[in-house]
Amino acid sequence: MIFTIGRQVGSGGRIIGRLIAEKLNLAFYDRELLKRAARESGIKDEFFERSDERSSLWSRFTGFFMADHLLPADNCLSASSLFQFQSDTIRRAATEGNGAVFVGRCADYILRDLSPRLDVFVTADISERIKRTIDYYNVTAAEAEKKIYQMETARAEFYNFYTEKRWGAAESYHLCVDSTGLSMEAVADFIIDYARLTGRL
Amino acid sequence: MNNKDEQQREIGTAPLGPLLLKFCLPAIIAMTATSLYNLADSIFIGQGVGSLGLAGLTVCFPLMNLSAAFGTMVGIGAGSVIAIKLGQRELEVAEHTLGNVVLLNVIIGTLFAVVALLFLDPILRFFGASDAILPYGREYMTPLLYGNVLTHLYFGLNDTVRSSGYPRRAMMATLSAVCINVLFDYILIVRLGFGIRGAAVATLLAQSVGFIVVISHLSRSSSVIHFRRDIFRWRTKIARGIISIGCAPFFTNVCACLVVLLINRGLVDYGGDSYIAAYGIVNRVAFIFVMITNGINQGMQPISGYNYGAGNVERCVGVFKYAAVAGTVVMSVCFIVAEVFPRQTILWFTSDELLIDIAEHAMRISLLMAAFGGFHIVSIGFMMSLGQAMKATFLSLSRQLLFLVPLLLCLPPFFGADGVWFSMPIADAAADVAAVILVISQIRKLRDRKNVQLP
Repeated sequence: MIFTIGRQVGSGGRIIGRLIAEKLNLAFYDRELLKRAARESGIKDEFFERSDERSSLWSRFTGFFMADHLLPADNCLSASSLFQFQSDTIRRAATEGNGAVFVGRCADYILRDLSPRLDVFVTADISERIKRTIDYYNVTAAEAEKKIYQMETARAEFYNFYTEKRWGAAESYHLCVDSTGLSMEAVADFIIDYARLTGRL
Repeated sequence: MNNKDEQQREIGTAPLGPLLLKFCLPAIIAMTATSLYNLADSIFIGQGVGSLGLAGLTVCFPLMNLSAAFGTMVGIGAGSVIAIKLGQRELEVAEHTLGNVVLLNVIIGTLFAVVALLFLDPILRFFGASDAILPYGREYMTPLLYGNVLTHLYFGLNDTVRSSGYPRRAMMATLSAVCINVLFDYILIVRLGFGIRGAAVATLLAQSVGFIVVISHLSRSSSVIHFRRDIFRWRTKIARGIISIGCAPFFTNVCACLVVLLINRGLVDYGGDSYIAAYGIVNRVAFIFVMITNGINQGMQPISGYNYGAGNVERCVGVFKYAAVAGTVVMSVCFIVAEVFPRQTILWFTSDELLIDIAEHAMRISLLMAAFGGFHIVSIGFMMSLGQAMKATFLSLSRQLLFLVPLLLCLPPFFGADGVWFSMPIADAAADVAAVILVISQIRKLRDRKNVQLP
């Protein structure tokens, strides 16, 4: 069974994903994916981190200057090559063991042919997300709000550029959950229940 | 996948010299073919039509650059999008991208041709055409503009063929187009005496043949992506993806157009028609060597890029050194040709004594610093392969915008046509100093950081 979790910044999606993995004894992939992609491709992880869930106009601009796909061999450091390595890693990881939970990195799209699979998107009220962001990054409220805006813009652009779906739009996922006012534990249980209810688990 | 792993092991371990050669050769062939394509027109027009014909051809360069700018925007953008989509096994989207390439090419190609045809005379005058040159420019450009959509389609689809996994087929289309162009230049200009219009028709014929090779490949249902009836529907998302990637090459080409425009205008204001023809010759000769160096540059990038990514700094710097030496050797040949054998070279293009003298003078001055150009070109590729887009962009634009444009605006009023010729070596030298400084500091930074993790 595969779970993929998309999330607003500060919605608790990552923690929920980890809880699901623990409860069902599945592998959990978040930033670890980058390290693994680095190991498997032979390219240092700093390059994966630099382009992680980001796709600006500028990086596409850079993509050209690296003359991608027009050469006898691709330039492996271009954004699209790194995305390709990361996709290969996600596909490989998804078919190992008895399943896995993936957070972000377009996993829902990359694994679209794999079943049983549940694509979840986690949202929360902005006040709660700001609170969580303040704690996590140790910043002021104003900075947190700015950070949320910037990270979500980058995530959406990354997702919308590489996938054929829209980030955060209900039809891109099986289940959209608002975590406001609930414990992470409860949300994780709810998602697992939903998976059971729909016969995926 | 396995193939890719194999290739990466090779890039990571094989001896650098032979490895570079292996990666460079296809790129050098492709680049040489492209320059021969342009060279053939210049030689046959110079010999068959004369110096006014050459000048007419030269004032068309910026307009052709501009058309190519729109063409490569679609071609390169679509190439990248298709490669990304095929990587994600999105065959359907990749094929729709192909369909949208056709739509974009037809729309942009038609608009460009209509606007250019309507305002052809003012445009050519703006690009430096005098009363004597104008008819030649018009005669050359008009057929080309009528075939503009075909040109765009040929180049755009050729890029998609290459990026969908058939680089050899794409190369075949290019090479057959080059051969046809040379052959028909000879037949139409020399044998049948069609003059400068013959060169344009030969170009169009050549592109039609290349187009047929490409189309027949894309019509075969065994090709990875191929034409289907329902892919020709407009999709804004795809078009946006194509253009967002393609805007960078577009910008570079527009800069090239601007520079040639300023050179032409400086020459027509302070020299005359023969000076423009002379520039046409110098430009074509230098172009061959620049393109070969570009081939070396392209072959180096995957090697330096991968080894940098894998943390193997010495191999990354090592392959750059090989490429820089090779590039300098090629450009030194250009320098020797310009300084030692200028007359013999120019005689290929013309037998007009006045033009020979002007072109010899122009060639000696403007290619004075050519030998150092190799390092500059390879440095741009080196920066690109390290993902240093800012520095790469700065280097590639510095020669043109930062140094050449101001020089072209300032020198000619004081030194006349010589001001135009001298602008080029001065810009070359300045750009080269910039390249040396940036590259040395970059290499030093790479070596310092070798064992230190990024924050």
